[in-house]
Amino acid sequence: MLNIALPKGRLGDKVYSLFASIGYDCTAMKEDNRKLVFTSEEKGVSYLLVKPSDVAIYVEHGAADIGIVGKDTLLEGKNDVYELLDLQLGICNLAVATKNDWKEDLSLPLRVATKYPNVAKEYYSKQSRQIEIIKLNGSIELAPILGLSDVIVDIVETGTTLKENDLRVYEYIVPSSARLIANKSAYQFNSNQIDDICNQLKDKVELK
Amino acid sequence: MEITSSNFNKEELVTQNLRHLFSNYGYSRYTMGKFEPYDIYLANKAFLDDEKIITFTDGTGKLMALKPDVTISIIKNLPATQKSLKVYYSENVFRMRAPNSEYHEIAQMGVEYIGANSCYSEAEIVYLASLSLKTINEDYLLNVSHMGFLSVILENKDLTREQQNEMIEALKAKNSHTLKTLLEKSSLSDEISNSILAMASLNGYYLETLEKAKQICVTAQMEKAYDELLTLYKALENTEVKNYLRLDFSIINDNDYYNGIVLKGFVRGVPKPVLAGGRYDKLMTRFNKPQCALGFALYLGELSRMFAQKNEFDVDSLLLYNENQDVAFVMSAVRILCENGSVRAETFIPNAYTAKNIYSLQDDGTFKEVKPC
Repeated sequence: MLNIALPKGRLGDKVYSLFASIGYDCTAMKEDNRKLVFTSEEKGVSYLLVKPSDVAIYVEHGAADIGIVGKDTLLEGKNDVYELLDLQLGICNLAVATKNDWKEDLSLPLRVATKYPNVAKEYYSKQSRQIEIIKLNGSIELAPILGLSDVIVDIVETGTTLKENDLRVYEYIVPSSARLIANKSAYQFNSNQIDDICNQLKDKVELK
Repeated sequence: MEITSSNFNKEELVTQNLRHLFSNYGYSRYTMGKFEPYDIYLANKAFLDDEKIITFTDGTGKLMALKPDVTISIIKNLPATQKSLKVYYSENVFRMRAPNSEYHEIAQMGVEYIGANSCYSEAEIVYLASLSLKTINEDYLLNVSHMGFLSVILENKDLTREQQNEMIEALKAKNSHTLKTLLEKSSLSDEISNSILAMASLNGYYLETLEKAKQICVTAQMEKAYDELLTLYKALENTEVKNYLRLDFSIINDNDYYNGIVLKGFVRGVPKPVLAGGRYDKLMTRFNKPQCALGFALYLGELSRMFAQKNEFDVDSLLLYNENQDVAFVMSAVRILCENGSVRAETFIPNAYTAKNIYSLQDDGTFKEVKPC
Protein backbone atom coordinates (compact mmCIF):
# COMPACT_ATOMS: atom_id res chain seq x y z
CA MET A 1 0.00 0.00 0.00
CA LEU A 2 1.44 3.31 -1.11
CA ASN A 3 0.44 6.46 0.79
CA ILE A 4 0.18 9.51 -1.45
CA ALA A 5 -0.12 12.97 0.13
CA LEU A 6 -2.05 15.44 -1.98
CA PRO A 7 -2.46 19.15 -1.29
CA LYS A 8 -6.07 20.02 -0.46
CA GLY A 9 -7.66 22.34 -2.98
CA ARG A 10 -7.51 23.10 -6.68
CA LEU A 11 -3.98 21.80 -7.29
CA GLY A 12 -4.80 18.57 -5.44
CA ASP A 13 -7.86 18.00 -7.66
CA LYS A 14 -5.76 18.47 -10.79
CA VAL A 15 -3.06 16.13 -9.51
CA TYR A 16 -5.61 13.50 -8.51
CA SER A 17 -7.01 13.44 -12.08
CA LEU A 18 -3.45 12.95 -13.30
CA PHE A 19 -2.97 9.96 -10.98
CA ALA A 20 -6.40 8.60 -11.96
CA SER A 21 -5.44 8.85 -15.63
CA ILE A 22 -2.49 6.51 -15.12
CA GLY A 23 -4.60 3.91 -13.35
CA TYR A 24 -4.34 4.97 -9.71
CA ASP A 25 -7.95 6.05 -9.37
CA CYS A 26 -9.87 5.77 -6.16
CA THR A 27 -13.65 5.83 -6.50
CA ALA A 28 -14.15 7.11 -2.95
CA MET A 29 -12.41 10.37 -3.93
CA LYS A 30 -15.34 11.33 -6.17
CA GLU A 31 -17.78 11.43 -3.30
CA ASP A 32 -17.99 14.89 -1.90
CA ASN A 33 -17.38 14.41 1.80
CA ARG A 34 -15.12 15.56 4.55
CA LYS A 35 -12.93 12.50 4.75
CA LEU A 36 -9.19 13.07 4.66
CA VAL A 37 -8.04 9.55 3.80
CA PHE A 38 -9.23 7.63 0.74
CA THR A 39 -8.08 4.07 0.20
CA SER A 40 -8.33 1.90 -2.85
CA GLU A 41 -7.40 -1.66 -1.83
CA GLU A 42 -7.70 -2.74 -5.43
CA LYS A 43 -5.16 -0.22 -6.78
CA GLY A 44 -2.97 -0.43 -3.69
CA VAL A 45 -2.95 3.28 -2.91
CA SER A 46 -4.19 5.58 -0.17
CA TYR A 47 -4.63 9.28 -0.77
CA LEU A 48 -4.17 11.67 2.15
CA LEU A 49 -5.52 15.18 1.79
CA VAL A 50 -3.36 17.61 3.73
CA LYS A 51 -2.67 21.33 3.88
CA PRO A 52 -0.38 22.17 0.92
CA SER A 53 2.41 23.46 3.16
CA ASP A 54 2.35 20.20 5.16
CA VAL A 55 2.73 17.73 2.27
CA ALA A 56 6.53 17.71 2.39
CA ILE A 57 6.47 17.22 6.17
CA TYR A 58 4.25 14.12 5.87
CA VAL A 59 6.60 12.73 3.24
CA GLU A 60 9.83 13.59 5.05
CA HIS A 61 8.62 11.83 8.20
CA GLY A 62 7.34 8.84 6.28
CA ALA A 63 3.62 9.26 7.07
CA ALA A 64 3.23 9.44 3.29
CA ASP A 65 5.52 7.62 0.86
CA ILE A 66 5.16 10.12 -1.95
CA GLY A 67 3.44 13.46 -2.36
CA ILE A 68 2.80 16.43 -4.57
CA VAL A 69 4.01 19.80 -3.40
CA GLY A 70 4.83 23.25 -4.77
CA LYS A 71 8.53 24.00 -5.25
CA ASP A 72 7.97 27.18 -3.22
CA THR A 73 7.12 25.21 -0.06
CA LEU A 74 10.01 22.81 -0.71
CA LEU A 75 12.43 25.73 -0.90
CA GLU A 76 11.02 27.16 2.29
CA GLY A 77 10.95 23.88 4.24
CA LYS A 78 14.28 22.50 2.92
CA ASN A 79 12.77 19.04 3.45
CA ASP A 80 15.09 16.09 3.04
CA VAL A 81 13.16 14.23 0.32
CA TYR A 82 13.68 13.07 -3.24
CA GLU A 83 12.28 15.47 -5.83
CA LEU A 84 11.52 13.13 -8.70
CA LEU A 85 9.51 15.08 -11.24
CA ASP A 86 8.37 18.55 -12.25
CA LEU A 87 4.66 18.18 -13.01
CA GLN A 88 4.44 21.57 -14.74
CA LEU A 89 1.22 22.30 -12.85
CA GLY A 90 0.44 25.29 -10.67
CA ILE A 91 3.18 27.26 -12.39
CA CYS A 92 4.05 30.53 -10.66
CA ASN A 93 7.03 32.61 -9.53
CA LEU A 94 8.46 33.46 -6.17
CA ALA A 95 9.05 37.15 -6.45
CA VAL A 96 9.78 40.37 -4.60
CA ALA A 97 6.88 42.79 -5.00
CA THR A 98 6.27 46.30 -3.78
CA LYS A 99 4.23 49.45 -4.29
CA ASN A 100 4.30 50.96 -7.77
CA ASP A 101 6.00 54.12 -6.55
CA TRP A 102 8.46 52.56 -4.05
CA LYS A 103 12.15 53.50 -4.23
CA GLU A 104 14.79 51.39 -2.52
CA ASP A 105 16.74 53.05 0.31
CA LEU A 106 20.07 51.25 0.62
CA SER A 107 21.00 53.07 3.83
CA LEU A 108 18.39 51.15 5.83
CA PRO A 109 17.75 47.44 6.36
CA LEU A 110 14.99 46.24 4.07
CA ARG A 111 11.73 45.26 5.79
CA VAL A 112 10.38 42.13 4.12
CA ALA A 113 6.90 40.74 4.82
CA THR A 114 6.49 37.14 3.75
CA LYS A 115 5.16 33.63 4.25
CA TYR A 116 8.58 32.44 3.09
CA PRO A 117 11.15 33.69 5.66
CA ASN A 118 13.82 31.13 4.67
CA VAL A 119 13.55 31.90 0.97
CA ALA A 120 13.72 35.63 1.69
CA LYS A 121 16.68 35.25 4.05
CA GLU A 122 18.66 33.19 1.55
CA TYR A 123 17.85 35.47 -1.39
CA TYR A 124 18.98 38.63 0.38
CA SER A 125 21.98 37.11 2.15
CA LYS A 126 23.37 36.20 -1.29
CA GLN A 127 23.25 39.92 -2.03
CA SER A 128 24.65 40.78 1.43
CA ARG A 129 21.57 42.90 1.99
CA GLN A 130 20.50 43.33 5.60
CA ILE A 131 16.80 42.63 6.08
CA GLU A 132 14.15 42.54 8.77
CA ILE A 133 11.66 39.74 8.29
CA ILE A 134 8.02 40.14 9.17
CA LYS A 135 6.42 36.71 9.04
CA LEU A 136 2.79 36.87 7.88
CA ASN A 137 0.38 34.05 7.15
CA GLY A 138 -1.95 35.63 4.61
CA SER A 139 -2.98 38.84 2.77
CA ILE A 140 0.70 39.61 2.40
CA GLU A 141 -0.14 42.33 -0.14
CA LEU A 142 -1.46 44.52 2.65
CA ALA A 143 1.94 44.92 4.27
CA PRO A 144 3.56 47.46 1.89
CA ILE A 145 0.26 49.31 1.46
CA LEU A 146 0.02 49.94 5.19
CA GLY A 147 3.73 50.63 5.53
CA LEU A 148 4.28 47.48 7.58
CA SER A 149 7.07 46.50 5.22
CA ASP A 150 9.01 47.86 2.24
CA VAL A 151 8.57 44.80 0.07
CA ILE A 152 6.93 41.39 0.12
CA VAL A 153 8.30 38.03 -0.96
CA ASP A 154 5.44 35.90 -2.23
CA ILE A 155 4.25 33.75 -5.09
CA VAL A 156 2.93 35.54 -8.14
CA GLU A 157 0.79 33.65 -10.63
CA THR A 158 -0.88 36.12 -12.97
CA GLY A 159 -0.10 39.33 -11.11
CA THR A 160 -3.78 40.32 -10.90
CA THR A 161 -3.84 40.55 -7.10
CA LEU A 162 -0.76 42.78 -7.22
CA LYS A 163 -2.23 45.03 -9.89
CA GLU A 164 -5.52 45.45 -8.05
CA ASN A 165 -3.59 46.59 -4.98
CA ASP A 166 -1.30 49.03 -6.81
CA LEU A 167 1.68 46.71 -6.44
CA ARG A 168 4.18 45.40 -8.99
CA VAL A 169 6.81 42.70 -9.26
CA TYR A 170 10.16 44.24 -8.35
CA GLU A 171 12.39 41.21 -8.92
CA TYR A 172 11.76 37.56 -9.78
CA ILE A 173 13.47 35.10 -7.42
CA VAL A 174 12.75 31.63 -8.77
CA PRO A 175 10.03 29.86 -10.77
CA SER A 176 7.87 27.32 -8.97
CA SER A 177 5.53 24.48 -9.95
CA ALA A 178 4.18 21.24 -8.50
CA ARG A 179 6.76 18.52 -7.86
CA LEU A 180 6.50 14.79 -7.19
CA ILE A 181 8.45 14.02 -4.02
CA ALA A 182 9.28 10.76 -2.24
CA ASN A 183 10.46 9.73 1.20
CA LYS A 184 14.08 8.61 0.94
CA SER A 185 13.56 5.38 2.85
CA ALA A 186 10.17 4.51 1.36
CA TYR A 187 11.66 5.00 -2.10
CA GLN A 188 14.26 2.28 -1.45
CA PHE A 189 11.64 -0.30 -0.53
CA ASN A 190 9.05 0.67 -3.16
CA SER A 191 11.30 1.86 -5.96
CA ASN A 192 9.58 -0.23 -8.65
CA GLN A 193 6.14 1.18 -7.94
CA ILE A 194 7.36 4.74 -7.40
CA ASP A 195 9.51 4.69 -10.55
CA ASP A 196 6.54 3.33 -12.46
CA ILE A 197 4.30 6.17 -11.24
CA CYS A 198 7.03 8.70 -11.94
CA ASN A 199 7.62 7.47 -15.51
CA GLN A 200 3.94 7.34 -16.36
CA LEU A 201 3.38 10.85 -14.96
CA LYS A 202 6.40 12.03 -16.92
CA ASP A 203 4.87 10.73 -20.16
CA LYS A 204 1.61 12.55 -19.35
CA VAL A 205 3.45 15.78 -18.56
CA GLU A 206 5.49 15.62 -21.76
CA LEU A 207 2.37 14.99 -23.83
CA LYS A 208 0.91 18.35 -22.80
CA MET B 1 14.97 -14.93 38.70
CA GLU B 2 17.24 -15.79 35.84
CA ILE B 3 18.05 -13.15 33.29
CA THR B 4 16.81 -14.13 29.86
CA SER B 5 16.56 -12.21 26.61
CA SER B 6 12.94 -11.46 27.48
CA ASN B 7 14.20 -9.14 30.21
CA PHE B 8 15.59 -6.83 27.53
CA ASN B 9 13.44 -4.72 25.32
CA LYS B 10 14.10 -4.95 21.59
CA GLU B 11 16.38 -1.92 21.61
CA GLU B 12 18.63 -3.32 24.34
CA LEU B 13 18.69 -6.67 22.60
CA VAL B 14 19.79 -5.10 19.32
CA THR B 15 22.55 -3.22 21.14
CA GLN B 16 23.75 -6.46 22.75
CA ASN B 17 23.68 -8.33 19.44
CA LEU B 18 25.57 -5.55 17.67
CA ARG B 19 28.29 -5.55 20.33
CA HIS B 20 28.57 -9.28 19.93
CA LEU B 21 28.81 -8.93 16.14
CA PHE B 22 31.52 -6.27 16.25
CA SER B 23 33.66 -8.05 18.82
CA ASN B 24 33.32 -11.28 16.84
CA TYR B 25 35.10 -9.55 13.96
CA GLY B 26 37.92 -8.35 16.16
CA TYR B 27 36.71 -4.86 17.02
CA SER B 28 37.25 -3.79 20.61
CA ARG B 29 35.08 -1.46 22.63
CA TYR B 30 36.06 2.20 22.78
CA THR B 31 34.57 4.43 25.46
CA MET B 32 35.15 8.08 26.11
CA GLY B 33 34.06 11.04 28.17
CA LYS B 34 31.02 13.11 27.44
CA PHE B 35 32.72 16.50 27.68
CA GLU B 36 35.44 17.81 25.41
CA PRO B 37 37.03 21.12 24.54
CA TYR B 38 34.96 22.82 21.86
CA ASP B 39 37.89 23.79 19.66
CA ILE B 40 38.40 20.32 18.16
CA TYR B 41 34.99 20.64 16.52
CA LEU B 42 35.33 24.23 15.50
CA ALA B 43 37.22 23.48 12.30
CA ASN B 44 35.09 20.49 11.41
CA LYS B 45 31.55 21.65 12.01
CA ALA B 46 30.48 20.61 8.52
CA PHE B 47 31.27 16.99 9.42
CA LEU B 48 28.25 17.09 11.72
CA ASP B 49 25.81 17.84 8.88
CA ASP B 50 25.39 21.41 10.05
CA GLU B 51 23.71 20.30 13.24
CA LYS B 52 24.81 22.48 16.09
CA ILE B 53 26.94 21.56 19.05
CA ILE B 54 25.73 22.09 22.61
CA THR B 55 28.36 24.08 24.47
CA PHE B 56 29.00 25.24 28.01
CA THR B 57 31.91 26.81 29.88
CA ASP B 58 33.94 24.87 32.42
CA GLY B 59 35.21 26.20 35.77
CA THR B 60 38.13 28.01 34.16
CA GLY B 61 36.01 29.69 31.51
CA LYS B 62 37.08 27.38 28.73
CA LEU B 63 34.41 26.59 26.13
CA MET B 64 33.44 22.93 26.25
CA ALA B 65 31.23 20.75 24.08
CA LEU B 66 28.84 17.98 24.96
CA LYS B 67 30.16 15.22 22.72
CA PRO B 68 28.42 15.65 19.36
CA ASP B 69 30.31 12.89 17.55
CA VAL B 70 32.52 9.92 18.27
CA THR B 71 34.57 9.53 15.09
CA ILE B 72 36.33 12.85 15.50
CA SER B 73 37.43 12.12 19.07
CA ILE B 74 38.76 8.70 18.08
CA ILE B 75 40.79 10.19 15.26
CA LYS B 76 42.03 13.11 17.31
CA ASN B 77 43.36 10.82 20.02
CA LEU B 78 44.97 8.40 17.60
CA PRO B 79 48.79 8.24 17.61
CA ALA B 80 50.10 8.89 14.10
CA THR B 81 52.37 5.87 14.47
CA GLN B 82 49.58 3.39 15.13
CA LYS B 83 49.20 1.36 11.96
CA SER B 84 45.88 -0.26 12.63
CA LEU B 85 42.97 0.14 15.02
CA LYS B 86 39.64 -1.65 14.95
CA VAL B 87 37.15 -0.29 17.45
CA TYR B 88 33.44 -0.02 17.99
CA TYR B 89 31.58 2.37 20.23
CA SER B 90 28.15 2.65 21.76
CA GLU B 91 27.61 6.18 23.03
CA ASN B 92 25.02 8.85 23.39
CA VAL B 93 25.87 12.00 21.47
CA PHE B 94 24.31 15.44 21.79
CA ARG B 95 23.21 17.82 19.08
CA MET B 96 21.11 20.92 18.71
CA ARG B 97 18.78 20.69 15.76
CA ALA B 98 17.25 23.33 13.52
CA PRO B 99 14.76 24.88 13.14
CA ASN B 100 13.76 25.11 16.80
CA SER B 101 17.22 24.55 18.36
CA GLU B 102 15.93 21.61 20.37
CA TYR B 103 18.45 19.59 22.32
CA HIS B 104 18.73 15.98 21.21
CA GLU B 105 20.40 13.03 22.84
CA ILE B 106 21.09 10.45 20.16
CA ALA B 107 22.05 6.84 20.78
CA GLN B 108 24.81 5.99 18.34
CA MET B 109 26.78 2.84 17.70
CA GLY B 110 29.51 2.52 15.19
CA VAL B 111 32.62 0.92 13.89
CA GLU B 112 35.91 2.54 12.94
CA TYR B 113 38.59 0.72 11.02
CA ILE B 114 41.74 2.83 11.08
CA GLY B 115 44.52 1.74 8.73
CA ALA B 116 42.00 0.30 6.32
CA ASN B 117 43.83 0.44 3.04
CA SER B 118 43.10 -2.93 1.46
CA CYS B 119 40.20 -4.08 -0.67
CA TYR B 120 39.49 -6.60 2.05
CA SER B 121 38.91 -3.83 4.59
CA GLU B 122 36.19 -2.32 2.39
CA ALA B 123 34.52 -5.67 1.97
CA GLU B 124 34.65 -6.25 5.72
CA ILE B 125 33.09 -2.89 6.55
CA VAL B 126 30.33 -3.31 3.97
CA TYR B 127 29.69 -6.83 5.23
CA LEU B 128 29.52 -5.67 8.85
CA ALA B 129 27.27 -2.76 7.88
CA SER B 130 24.89 -5.20 6.21
CA LEU B 131 24.85 -7.56 9.18
CA SER B 132 24.28 -4.63 11.54
CA LEU B 133 21.21 -3.60 9.56
CA LYS B 134 20.03 -7.19 9.53
CA THR B 135 20.32 -7.28 13.31
CA ILE B 136 17.92 -4.36 13.47
CA ASN B 137 15.46 -5.59 10.87
CA GLU B 138 15.64 -8.47 8.39
CA ASP B 139 14.00 -6.22 5.82
CA TYR B 140 16.86 -3.86 5.09
CA LEU B 141 18.80 -2.36 2.20
CA LEU B 142 22.35 -1.06 2.11
CA ASN B 143 22.99 1.60 -0.50
CA VAL B 144 26.54 1.91 -1.75
CA SER B 145 28.08 4.66 -3.82
CA HIS B 146 31.57 5.92 -4.57
CA MET B 147 32.84 9.49 -4.29
CA GLY B 148 35.04 8.83 -7.33
CA PHE B 149 31.95 9.08 -9.52
CA LEU B 150 31.25 12.55 -8.17
CA SER B 151 34.73 13.80 -8.98
CA VAL B 152 33.32 14.57 -12.41
CA ILE B 153 31.38 17.35 -10.69
CA LEU B 154 33.46 18.16 -7.62
CA GLU B 155 36.84 18.28 -9.30
CA ASN B 156 35.65 19.79 -12.53
CA LYS B 157 37.51 23.03 -13.23
CA ASP B 158 34.84 24.18 -15.68
CA LEU B 159 32.34 24.53 -12.84
CA THR B 160 32.23 27.20 -10.15
CA ARG B 161 31.92 26.16 -6.52
CA GLU B 162 28.31 27.31 -6.56
CA GLN B 163 27.50 25.28 -9.68
CA GLN B 164 29.09 22.23 -8.11
CA ASN B 165 27.03 22.61 -4.94
CA GLU B 166 23.80 23.13 -6.87
CA MET B 167 24.46 20.01 -8.94
CA ILE B 168 25.29 17.92 -5.88
CA GLU B 169 22.11 19.11 -4.15
CA ALA B 170 20.06 18.17 -7.22
CA LEU B 171 21.75 14.78 -7.41
CA LYS B 172 21.08 14.13 -3.72
CA ALA B 173 17.37 14.80 -4.34
CA LYS B 174 17.34 12.67 -7.54
CA ASN B 175 16.14 15.89 -9.09
CA SER B 176 16.79 15.24 -12.81
CA HIS B 177 14.80 18.22 -14.05
CA THR B 178 16.80 20.76 -12.05
CA LEU B 179 20.07 18.96 -12.81
CA LYS B 180 19.27 19.14 -16.52
CA THR B 181 18.67 22.88 -16.35
CA LEU B 182 21.93 23.38 -14.43
CA LEU B 183 23.87 21.33 -16.97
CA GLU B 184 22.37 23.23 -19.89
CA LYS B 185 23.52 26.48 -18.29
CA SER B 186 27.07 25.15 -17.75
CA SER B 187 29.81 24.92 -20.34
CA LEU B 188 30.30 21.17 -19.96
CA SER B 189 30.55 18.92 -22.99
CA ASP B 190 27.55 16.78 -23.92
CA GLU B 191 29.42 13.63 -22.96
CA ILE B 192 30.10 14.84 -19.42
CA SER B 193 26.64 16.40 -19.04
CA ASN B 194 24.94 13.17 -20.05
CA SER B 195 27.12 11.22 -17.65
CA ILE B 196 26.17 13.50 -14.74
CA LEU B 197 22.48 13.50 -15.67
CA ALA B 198 22.44 9.71 -15.88
CA MET B 199 23.71 9.48 -12.28
CA ALA B 200 20.49 11.07 -10.97
CA SER B 201 18.44 8.08 -12.04
CA LEU B 202 21.04 5.35 -11.52
CA ASN B 203 19.93 3.17 -8.65
CA GLY B 204 18.92 -0.41 -8.12
CA TYR B 205 20.39 -3.89 -7.81
CA TYR B 206 24.12 -3.62 -7.32
CA LEU B 207 25.57 -5.52 -10.24
CA GLU B 208 22.90 -4.49 -12.73
CA THR B 209 23.37 -0.82 -11.85
CA LEU B 210 27.14 -1.14 -11.87
CA GLU B 211 26.99 -2.38 -15.47
CA LYS B 212 25.00 0.74 -16.37
CA ALA B 213 27.46 2.89 -14.43
CA LYS B 214 30.28 1.51 -16.55
CA GLN B 215 28.72 3.13 -19.61
CA ILE B 216 28.86 6.60 -18.07
CA CYS B 217 32.50 6.59 -16.92
CA VAL B 218 34.08 9.61 -18.58
CA THR B 219 37.10 10.21 -16.35
CA ALA B 220 39.94 8.05 -15.08
CA GLN B 221 38.68 8.54 -11.52
CA MET B 222 35.28 7.18 -12.48
CA GLU B 223 36.93 4.14 -14.09
CA LYS B 224 38.89 3.58 -10.91
CA ALA B 225 35.77 3.92 -8.79
CA TYR B 226 34.01 1.43 -11.05
CA ASP B 227 36.84 -1.08 -10.58
CA GLU B 228 36.71 -0.65 -6.80
CA LEU B 229 32.96 -1.17 -6.72
CA LEU B 230 33.30 -4.29 -8.85
CA THR B 231 36.05 -5.72 -6.62
CA LEU B 232 33.84 -5.02 -3.62
CA TYR B 233 30.97 -6.90 -5.18
CA LYS B 234 33.10 -9.88 -6.07
CA ALA B 235 34.29 -10.08 -2.46
CA LEU B 236 30.70 -10.25 -1.21
CA GLU B 237 29.16 -12.23 -4.05
CA ASN B 238 29.14 -15.46 -2.11
CA THR B 239 27.81 -14.06 1.15
CA GLU B 240 24.25 -13.76 2.37
CA VAL B 241 24.30 -9.96 2.14
CA LYS B 242 24.65 -9.90 -1.65
CA ASN B 243 20.94 -9.50 -2.35
CA TYR B 244 20.58 -6.57 0.04
CA LEU B 245 23.17 -4.35 -1.63
CA ARG B 246 22.04 -1.53 -3.86
CA LEU B 247 24.01 0.97 -5.85
CA ASP B 248 22.65 4.50 -5.67
CA PHE B 249 24.48 7.62 -6.83
CA SER B 250 22.24 9.97 -4.87
CA ILE B 251 24.06 8.81 -1.73
CA ILE B 252 26.63 11.55 -1.24
CA ASN B 253 28.78 12.42 1.75
CA ASP B 254 30.70 15.62 2.34
CA ASN B 255 33.56 15.80 -0.14
CA ASP B 256 35.79 17.55 2.41
CA TYR B 257 35.88 14.43 4.56
CA TYR B 258 34.93 11.42 2.48
CA ASN B 259 36.54 9.73 -0.48
CA GLY B 260 36.05 6.22 -1.86
CA ILE B 261 33.01 4.20 -0.94
CA VAL B 262 29.97 5.74 0.72
CA LEU B 263 27.29 3.83 2.61
CA LYS B 264 23.74 4.54 3.64
CA GLY B 265 21.46 1.94 5.20
CA PHE B 266 17.69 1.75 5.47
CA VAL B 267 15.30 -0.58 7.25
CA ARG B 268 11.64 -0.85 6.32
CA GLY B 269 9.36 1.25 8.47
CA VAL B 270 11.94 3.84 9.52
CA PRO B 271 11.61 7.01 7.43
CA LYS B 272 15.25 8.08 7.74
CA PRO B 273 18.52 6.30 7.05
CA VAL B 274 19.70 4.36 10.10
CA LEU B 275 23.26 3.81 8.94
CA ALA B 276 25.78 6.13 7.32
CA GLY B 277 29.46 5.84 6.65
CA GLY B 278 32.21 5.23 4.18
CA ARG B 279 35.88 5.88 3.57
CA TYR B 280 37.10 9.07 5.24
CA ASP B 281 40.80 9.32 4.44
CA LYS B 282 40.31 13.05 3.89
CA LEU B 283 39.09 13.56 7.45
CA MET B 284 42.24 11.78 8.64
CA THR B 285 44.36 14.14 6.58
CA ARG B 286 42.62 17.13 8.16
CA PHE B 287 43.85 15.87 11.52
CA ASN B 288 47.34 15.27 10.11
CA LYS B 289 47.01 11.52 10.47
CA PRO B 290 48.68 9.41 7.79
CA GLN B 291 46.37 6.40 8.09
CA CYS B 292 43.46 5.50 5.87
CA ALA B 293 40.12 4.86 7.55
CA LEU B 294 36.69 3.35 7.04
CA GLY B 295 33.71 3.35 9.34
CA PHE B 296 30.00 3.63 9.79
CA ALA B 297 27.58 4.80 12.44
CA LEU B 298 24.16 3.46 13.35
CA TYR B 299 21.55 5.95 14.50
CA LEU B 300 19.68 3.88 17.01
CA GLY B 301 17.58 6.83 18.15
CA GLU B 302 15.65 6.64 14.89
CA LEU B 303 14.60 3.15 15.87
CA SER B 304 13.14 3.63 19.32
CA ARG B 305 9.69 4.22 17.86
CA MET B 306 9.93 1.17 15.67
CA PHE B 307 10.89 -0.88 18.69
CA ALA B 308 8.30 0.61 21.00
CA GLN B 309 6.27 -2.44 21.94
CA LYS B 310 3.18 -2.37 24.02
CA ASN B 311 2.98 -5.07 26.63
CA GLU B 312 -0.55 -6.17 27.25
CA PHE B 313 -0.11 -5.76 30.98
CA ASP B 314 2.14 -3.51 33.01
CA VAL B 315 2.81 -6.33 35.47
CA ASP B 316 1.93 -10.00 35.96
CA SER B 317 0.48 -9.69 39.45
CA LEU B 318 -0.73 -6.73 41.39
CA LEU B 319 -0.86 -7.56 45.08
CA LEU B 320 -3.11 -5.49 47.29
CA TYR B 321 -2.32 -5.59 50.99
CA ASN B 322 -3.60 -3.43 53.79
CA GLU B 323 -1.56 -1.35 56.17
CA ASN B 324 -2.69 -3.30 59.23
CA GLN B 325 -1.02 -6.46 57.94
CA ASP B 326 2.36 -7.49 59.35
CA VAL B 327 5.28 -6.24 57.21
CA ALA B 328 7.14 -9.57 57.22
CA PHE B 329 3.88 -11.33 56.29
CA VAL B 330 3.40 -9.03 53.27
CA MET B 331 7.04 -9.38 52.30
CA SER B 332 6.85 -13.17 52.19
CA ALA B 333 3.66 -13.02 50.13
CA VAL B 334 5.37 -10.74 47.60
CA ARG B 335 8.31 -13.13 47.39
CA ILE B 336 6.02 -16.08 46.71
CA LEU B 337 4.30 -14.25 43.84
CA CYS B 338 7.63 -13.06 42.47
CA GLU B 339 8.66 -16.62 41.73
CA ASN B 340 6.03 -16.77 39.00
CA GLY B 341 6.55 -13.43 37.31
CA SER B 342 6.64 -9.76 38.10
CA VAL B 343 4.71 -8.39 41.01
CA ARG B 344 3.83 -4.95 42.30
CA ALA B 345 2.65 -4.55 45.85
CA GLU B 346 0.29 -1.68 46.62
CA THR B 347 -2.43 -0.75 49.05
CA PHE B 348 -4.69 0.41 46.20
CA ILE B 349 -5.00 -0.09 42.44
CA PRO B 350 -2.85 2.59 40.78
CA ASN B 351 -4.50 4.77 38.19
CA ALA B 352 -4.50 3.48 34.60
CA TYR B 353 -2.45 0.45 35.57
CA THR B 354 -3.05 -3.00 34.16
CA ALA B 355 -2.14 -6.36 35.66
CA LYS B 356 -2.72 -9.89 34.42
CA ASN B 357 -3.96 -10.85 37.88
CA ILE B 358 -4.99 -8.68 40.77
CA TYR B 359 -4.88 -10.32 44.19
CA SER B 360 -5.90 -9.14 47.56
CA LEU B 361 -3.75 -10.54 50.37
CA GLN B 362 -5.97 -12.26 52.95
CA ASP B 363 -5.02 -12.37 56.62
CA ASP B 364 -4.73 -16.19 56.41
CA GLY B 365 -1.98 -15.85 53.77
CA THR B 366 -4.12 -16.79 50.75
CA PHE B 367 -4.55 -14.66 47.65
CA LYS B 368 -8.05 -13.66 46.69
CA GLU B 369 -8.54 -12.67 43.08
CA VAL B 370 -9.99 -9.21 42.63
CA LYS B 371 -11.85 -8.14 39.49
CA PRO B 372 -10.58 -4.83 38.18
CA CYS B 373 -13.29 -2.23 38.30
